[in-house]
Amino acid sequence: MGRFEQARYLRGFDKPILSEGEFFLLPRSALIWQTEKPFFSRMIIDEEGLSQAIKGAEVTRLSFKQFPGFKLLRDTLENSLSGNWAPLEEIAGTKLLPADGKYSLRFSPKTSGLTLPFAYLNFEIGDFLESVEIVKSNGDRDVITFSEQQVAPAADVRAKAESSKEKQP
Amino acid sequence: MNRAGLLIYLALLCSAVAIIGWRLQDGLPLDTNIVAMLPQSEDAEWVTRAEAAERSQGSNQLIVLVGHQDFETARSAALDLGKMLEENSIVKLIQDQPQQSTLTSLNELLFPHRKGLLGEGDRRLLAAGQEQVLVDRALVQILSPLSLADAELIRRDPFLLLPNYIAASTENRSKLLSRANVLAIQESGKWFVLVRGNLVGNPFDKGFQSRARSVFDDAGGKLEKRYGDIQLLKTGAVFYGEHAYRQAEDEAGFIGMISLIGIVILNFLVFRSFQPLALSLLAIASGIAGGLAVTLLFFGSLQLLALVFGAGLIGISVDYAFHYFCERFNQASSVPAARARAIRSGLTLGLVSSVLGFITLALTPFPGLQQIALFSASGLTLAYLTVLYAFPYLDRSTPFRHGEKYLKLSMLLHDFWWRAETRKWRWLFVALLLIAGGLGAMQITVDDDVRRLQSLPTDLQAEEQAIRHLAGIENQTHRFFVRGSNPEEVLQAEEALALDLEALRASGAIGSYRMISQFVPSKARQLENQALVDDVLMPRLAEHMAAIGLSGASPYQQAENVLTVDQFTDANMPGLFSHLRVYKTPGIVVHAVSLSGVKDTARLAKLAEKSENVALISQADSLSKTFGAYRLRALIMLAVAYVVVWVFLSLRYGFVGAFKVMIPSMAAVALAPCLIALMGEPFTFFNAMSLMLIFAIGLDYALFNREATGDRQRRAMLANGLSTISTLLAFGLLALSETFAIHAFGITILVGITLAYILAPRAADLEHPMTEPL
Repeated sequence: MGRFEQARYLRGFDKPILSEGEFFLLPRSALIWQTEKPFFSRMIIDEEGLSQAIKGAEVTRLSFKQFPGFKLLRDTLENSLSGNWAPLEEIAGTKLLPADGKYSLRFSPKTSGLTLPFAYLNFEIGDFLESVEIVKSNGDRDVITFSEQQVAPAADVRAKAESSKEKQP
Repeated sequence: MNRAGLLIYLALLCSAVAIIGWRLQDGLPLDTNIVAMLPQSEDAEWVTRAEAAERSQGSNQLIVLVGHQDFETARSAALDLGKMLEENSIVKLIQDQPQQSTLTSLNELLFPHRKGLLGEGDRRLLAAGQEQVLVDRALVQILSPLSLADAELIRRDPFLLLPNYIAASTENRSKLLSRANVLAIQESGKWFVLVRGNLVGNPFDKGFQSRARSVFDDAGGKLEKRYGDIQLLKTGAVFYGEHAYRQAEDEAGFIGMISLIGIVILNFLVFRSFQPLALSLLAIASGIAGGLAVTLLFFGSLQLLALVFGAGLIGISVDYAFHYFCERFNQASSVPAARARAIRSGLTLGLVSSVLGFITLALTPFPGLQQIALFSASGLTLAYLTVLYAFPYLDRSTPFRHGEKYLKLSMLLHDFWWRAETRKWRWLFVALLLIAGGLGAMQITVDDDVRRLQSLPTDLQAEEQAIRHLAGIENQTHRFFVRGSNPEEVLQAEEALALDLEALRASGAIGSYRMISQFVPSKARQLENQALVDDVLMPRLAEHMAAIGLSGASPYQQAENVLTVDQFTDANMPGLFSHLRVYKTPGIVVHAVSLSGVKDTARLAKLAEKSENVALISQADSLSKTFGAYRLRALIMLAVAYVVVWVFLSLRYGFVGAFKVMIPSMAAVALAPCLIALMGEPFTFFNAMSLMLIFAIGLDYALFNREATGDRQRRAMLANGLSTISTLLAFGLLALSETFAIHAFGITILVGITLAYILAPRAADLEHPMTEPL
């Protein structure tokens, strides 16, 4: 679990759309993405798909059955956030590259023969995953920076995710 | 007279053969669709037409899951199977998985109208003034690291109205996921890929059924050769239909063989000669030719049920032949013409009574019953002419020298009814019969539900169950038809119906429903939506655009027109909806509303009753309704037929005398359903139709008893006995069948004909014998 800051650069828009919040990773179960700014919302990505809720009410449900490409993106995020690089190196067909005491990895689905809703992903890795850049084929990109990351037993992560709901204004 | 009769017979037979040859140039036009037997109903004519249109479009689906450990293998095999089924004109494949190009063109078509296209949930939120939820949703979706929306879409539709509309209206409710342009699911390490198509032919058509089955089996064999261990799970009406037909054919074939052998043995045992058998076949063949020719001439095609029951009734022609040949036991006369003369009165009265009964039946507006009546009446007439006028010319034989013991044996029953010493036994028998009948009458249960009448094969059911479990797809059992004079009216009617369906869904009476207006709302609804969006959501646009960093004018321009159904072709309408457009002619447009997870049909039926423009359609229900209506109509007409025959027979026997002659037949017809109820059998359409056969045969037995005098009585009794044994062998054995319809037919005949034979001697009148031939 930890914090994130996301900058969404949309082509032709005046400024990036910024958001920040907390994330909680329950390996092989769910990734909880709690946005706190600009307003509070929660996204839970599990094995079935993702659901987004505002003030506890679901506003979007997206099934991986309908959009199977997102399943891989979710697995990629989960693997990278949990420092599980081997499967990513395998599907990216390349190894982590060392630079300035850190590592980087670029994953381009097209060169891996996959049809996914993004052109490539850039990972920056220190002790944990520090940032990921998701670049779409039309030039849109997201830069997500992670901080205050810590590893804890699943039960603790779950408890923290639960108590974190209280931040809802 | 004899020569003239022969000439008439020959002329009729030649005409019949010519008509059959002319009509059968393109094969036998046999219709196995029982629904087509329903009478045309005035007020539901639009439903009938829409159903016919739907059938011609191939509304009946064939669903297959192709399974293999490897996804690519399962996918290739599924694509190959689909191709083979389509190339052989079995199905038209349904594009469950829209191609990217289709989606793009769909987006382009819908985009200008996005303000008028709101999902039901969004509409309710805006109407309740909760636009903030839609604004927040758009923001959340735009912010999501797994966002579907790109800059271009957000710029043109910052509230993401269209993607949310498409997602809500085309929600994939099955368990299948789309992968590499097919729908698939992985279960226990195996991939299953869906192949789904609309049948090109009629699943009730015997020819189409066997062709579909053989193409499918061929394709299965080829796939196994090409891909190895492939698993195919299949379901669809055509497989059930084909199985039922094959089972019926196999059983009828097997039972038919046993009964044929029995009848041949019976002939040899009693007559010790080939000739009676050969001439009996001539009588039957002439009867079937006559029935077939007249039916084809008047109706053009032949109902399967008419053929089955009609052929059964023509089986009576064997009885005519038995009476003729039993006359050869008459040592006093060796002239064939005299044999014909001896049986002419009984035969003529029997024929006229039967034909009168059938004419009564033909007066009903039920095409199935009309065909049975016409087939039987014309067939019997030709069989009658064969026996009376052709047999004497073909029969050159001398009287039998054997047979005394058979004649004595057959008189035992006659003596039971007429000897003074058996009087108390007679009363005991009648009393027992009445008690059993009374007890049975209290237990009669009427059952027209076709689902219980079908014996569903366990392997096909298991496959259907597996498909339902794996894919969450079910064979549709019920749907609505909604009518209007133009598409707009239909869409509005659908939207009104949706309010009620939503309540049924909430209460669990149905799982879900799908209608075209969920995808293309009515003009009125689109204008309402536009007004809601303008009044409630648009005031929030500037603030929302600023929040996401988007500048410029409002991208929501007013579209010139609303979206209409006619803008879609079947190709660019999503597969989920395209098959719901059922029927369109100037002045009448019909859409279907598909329903799944139906648990409470009564509440659906009530919904349909609320409006004359809404009809609940269920194949099984309409079949049950057909059977129910036919059962009742057959019983009513049977009663009318007895009255008509009573009047006719009164001309010869007087009112009381005629009634006495009819008692054995009436008692058999009344008691048979009661006695089979004691065995726990329900009373269905098939039992009611069997009563027609008991009516006709029972009357014959009684009339021969009434007309026979002196020594002829023994021969009449022997002929009746032989008729009974052959009828029981031919039809009674059908009681062993596992196909419900055949079993019901068989068991009723078994009980009814036995009763008719046992009771027939009571029709004789020893004090007033008929000395004057007709």
